[in-house]
Amino acid sequence: MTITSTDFAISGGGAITNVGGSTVYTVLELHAWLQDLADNAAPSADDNVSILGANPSQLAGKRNASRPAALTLLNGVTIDNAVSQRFKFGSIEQNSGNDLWTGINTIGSGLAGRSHYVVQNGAKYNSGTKWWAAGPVQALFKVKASGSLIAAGIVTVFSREWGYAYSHFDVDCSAGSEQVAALSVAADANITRLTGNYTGGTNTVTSTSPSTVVTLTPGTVSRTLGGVTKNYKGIISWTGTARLNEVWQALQWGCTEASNATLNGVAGWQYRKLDAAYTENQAAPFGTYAGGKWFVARGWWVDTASLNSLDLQGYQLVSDDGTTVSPPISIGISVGSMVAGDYVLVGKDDGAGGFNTTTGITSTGSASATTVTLSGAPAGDVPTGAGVIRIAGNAHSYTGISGVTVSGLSPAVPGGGYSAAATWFPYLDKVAASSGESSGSFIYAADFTARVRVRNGGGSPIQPFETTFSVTTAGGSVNAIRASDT
Amino acid sequence: MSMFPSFGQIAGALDIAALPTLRGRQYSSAGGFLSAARLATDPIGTFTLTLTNVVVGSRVNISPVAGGSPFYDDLAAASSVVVPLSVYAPGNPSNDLLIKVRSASGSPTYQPYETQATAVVGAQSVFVSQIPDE
Repeated sequence: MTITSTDFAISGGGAITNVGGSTVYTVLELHAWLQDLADNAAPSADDNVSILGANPSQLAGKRNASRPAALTLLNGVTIDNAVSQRFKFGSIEQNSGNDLWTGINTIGSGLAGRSHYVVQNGAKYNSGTKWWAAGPVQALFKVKASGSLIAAGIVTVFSREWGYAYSHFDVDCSAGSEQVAALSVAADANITRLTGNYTGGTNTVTSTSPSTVVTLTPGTVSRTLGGVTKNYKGIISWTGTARLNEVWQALQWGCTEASNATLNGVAGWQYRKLDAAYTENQAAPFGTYAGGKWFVARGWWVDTASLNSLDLQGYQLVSDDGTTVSPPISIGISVGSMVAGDYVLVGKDDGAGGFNTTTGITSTGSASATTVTLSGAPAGDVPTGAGVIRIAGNAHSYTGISGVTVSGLSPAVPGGGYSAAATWFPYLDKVAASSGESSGSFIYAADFTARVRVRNGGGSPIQPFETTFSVTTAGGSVNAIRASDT
Repeated sequence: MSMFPSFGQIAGALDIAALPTLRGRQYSSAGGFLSAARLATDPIGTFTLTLTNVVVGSRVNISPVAGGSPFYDDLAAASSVVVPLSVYAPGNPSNDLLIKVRSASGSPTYQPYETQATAVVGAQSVFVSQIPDE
């Protein structure tokens, strides 16, 4: 395409200004136009370039329309930002190299029709006013002024359109010519709300539906989850026990192009990660939501008090030191195919045909008491709610364990009491009241082999049933085989 | 009657009134010799500048290096362009010539070519090396 005299004017001093039209030309076309004028006998109309004046422009290399053109404006010929928006596919420098506009070309998947914006030195370029249409961007951006690179020549191209996975790319424009910004954008099915559902604040995002306020509290804290104590650099909390998908959406909105939230001290539309040392998650700065689970970005602690009861296992954290931390998995053990009256005993297998009764823990308690004190905290996979305990060979049920205190013993401590009595923790230890019995829930720590023993020598005698089975993150279950003994 | 004409007789014959009053061309009768003093801007001879190897159609512009109206400006009709120019007294800036040869309006285009020359009485040839710009 050829630039016409109605597009631009060139003053006697060399300043190129917009006159009319909106066509975006290539940098090479600017050079061709200037050189075309420069071999005229005299200036024509408002284009004050001719052979009477000095050479107005010079290319690095020869003209080649298939590659970006690096153009230098010479001898006082200049453009400004408004004029730069009329050009693409190359770079333009002027004022002896003191000013530089570099071309950026976005490439990648899913860019067609998507919104992009450019951030330079912590602000949206051109105050967020775009002169390019939706879709891939090919335009010039000023990266050097008065001899100094702006933000070291780095500009960042963002694609953060609501409903789509986010992407951005830091482009080093200091060398001029045209530089590539590689982006990847795809629709995000986890976004179910409309953008108007949210408003932002300082470290807050407020959702209308469901009604919740998500709050960020930056600052180092030490927290324990699933028995793992780690440092985190900020807390995510929210009101209304909103589901995790809603909380995640709110924070994702907080990072969208249209966000008016300030997150951890920066505008949400350019928030990238909690700590400079972390690896960022481009698609979702607060972590990925996938398969009904929120893989929270590194450094953020999720306030467990804010959690909906349906989401207790619906997230995973990464602590400040990079350790992946998962919420505890609550499991249980069940035994089926019994009849009421069968006695069932389930405990950890000792690998030698019996139960592992060696815990190293003893119990001390007074006669008739319903509370005993353990010599140490029980293992993490002992039920801390209702469960059963064997003390000096005696079976008791309990209602809870807190620290080293076992409470709600039934039956109560027998006469004589317990003094450093050997103690272990079966999972089931009772006369079955029905065909199936289940242990109290406990926290999964690691896979183990359990042993089950079912006996009935009374009204419905069976041959003793005994076997082992595996307990995993899904818990453990086994059906008794009741072989008649009559 | 004196055998030599008087100053008034000479002045009347030379029409001194037509000359500038303070500076410029003057005749002198001192000592009985007549001489003419030229202005610095008066040519003292001619200089024939020949540009060779010019791309036909290029615009050729020859101007003072110091700036000012061109001495020559035209499109090259042949690869050799012969330009008659004036030579001025030594030290006259008009002897310092800026030669521009440009061809960028039609394909193939060429990078602007510029060189300089000094006008001397006689002739000089300048080889023009225009570099294609595409």
